[in-house]
Amino acid sequence: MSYLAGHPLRVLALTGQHVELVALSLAVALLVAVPIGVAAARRPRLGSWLLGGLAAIYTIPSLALLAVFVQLFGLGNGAIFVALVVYAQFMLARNVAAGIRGVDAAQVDAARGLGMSPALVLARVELPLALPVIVGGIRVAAVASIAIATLAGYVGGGGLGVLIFTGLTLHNDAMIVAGSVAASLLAVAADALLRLAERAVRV
Amino acid sequence: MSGAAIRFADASVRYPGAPDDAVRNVSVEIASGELVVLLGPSGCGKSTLLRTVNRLVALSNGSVFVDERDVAGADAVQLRREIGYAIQAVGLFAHMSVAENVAVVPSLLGWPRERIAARVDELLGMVGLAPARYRARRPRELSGGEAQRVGVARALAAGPRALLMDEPFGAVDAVVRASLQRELAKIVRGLGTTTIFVTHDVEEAMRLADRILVMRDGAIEQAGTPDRLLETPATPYVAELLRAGDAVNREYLLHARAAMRNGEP
Repeated sequence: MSYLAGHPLRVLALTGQHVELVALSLAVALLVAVPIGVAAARRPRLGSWLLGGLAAIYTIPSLALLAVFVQLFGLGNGAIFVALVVYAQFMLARNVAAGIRGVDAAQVDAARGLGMSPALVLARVELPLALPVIVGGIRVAAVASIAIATLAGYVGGGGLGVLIFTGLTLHNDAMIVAGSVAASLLAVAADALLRLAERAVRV
Repeated sequence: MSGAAIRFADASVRYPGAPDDAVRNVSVEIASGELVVLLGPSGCGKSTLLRTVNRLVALSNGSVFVDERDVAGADAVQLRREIGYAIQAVGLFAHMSVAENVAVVPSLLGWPRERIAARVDELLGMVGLAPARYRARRPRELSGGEAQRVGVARALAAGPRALLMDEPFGAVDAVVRASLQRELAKIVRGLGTTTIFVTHDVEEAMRLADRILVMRDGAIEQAGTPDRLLETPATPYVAELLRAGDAVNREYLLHARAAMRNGEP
């Protein structure tokens, strides 16, 4: 903790960058994952293709995936951002699909029978009722993203990975520990917060 | 406001991939304000027939008219907002309060907030739930009978001219069911709402119906008043079905119906 004691503001700033990177990439990932998840829930066959494809991407080691995006987008936060969005797709889309499929059929039937259009059934009944499962997906994706985002430090981006990789280069153990511990704490905190959110949206 | 007249003209439904029609050539007229019960065992097509009225199920042949307007030509979403709908599983929206559930259709129709609030209280009172006690409750805090009442209130919320009910009291115990039946009959007769009520419960059909349509294999086997069916079942199937209401004693039912008509409990 000696590094943290000596450079609290630097650790704080890098933590802020880390949170920003993860939060923004998750937000974008969610915008992509909701339509994919809805489509997967509506059409089981298309769904198994979509989720199967995303699962295949998910099995690619994150460093390898990142290497591909560095080739495409160059060094910096851009590559890691895209990698995070792609990597989170499987966890998010899978949970959106599972959440919607798990909605009580009677409530959907009632919603249709009372005169909600398909879009309203989705927005007012299916998505709200699927929310605990969706938030569960966000939680798992957030924890994974916080870990993967440390790789930003390896490819010229920001965040807590900068401490870890700079520490490795400079043989500065205190720096490595500070980065690792901060990233771990961040993951634990995100997990706890999103667990609370999951409970809050449960009906 | 008078109820809608509903007319089935040679209506048939075949589900995709099914070898037979789920509903076969049904032609019947339901008068404005009439309470008609579709009676038959599960799989006889009664729910399917019901669901053609608000286009939850599409006809493969023939037509359904609501007030002489072919529902096939109507906007399905709009049509459903004009027709009440209540089902056995109730399907109260778990993430909404009782008041929000009842307010669903009025909100969809864009009623002003004060009018919706007043209407919700009026309906909760009508189905025997004190508004102040129940308004803010969540569906999971309701008993089966209370949930069914909210389901009925929700179906009636926007003052529909027709009401479709698919075994709405199937999941509650006999005592609660009897009181729900009594109150429903009183409400829809008072409002003049044309009602189609699906059940496999002979006793329930006898208690509620102005007219019973007995269904078998997708077709109407016999149509008639409860008394008429009891007195002269047209086929052995109908006689058997009515007998199958095991504990149902014909004499008792005839008396009970006479008593209900005379306004006794």
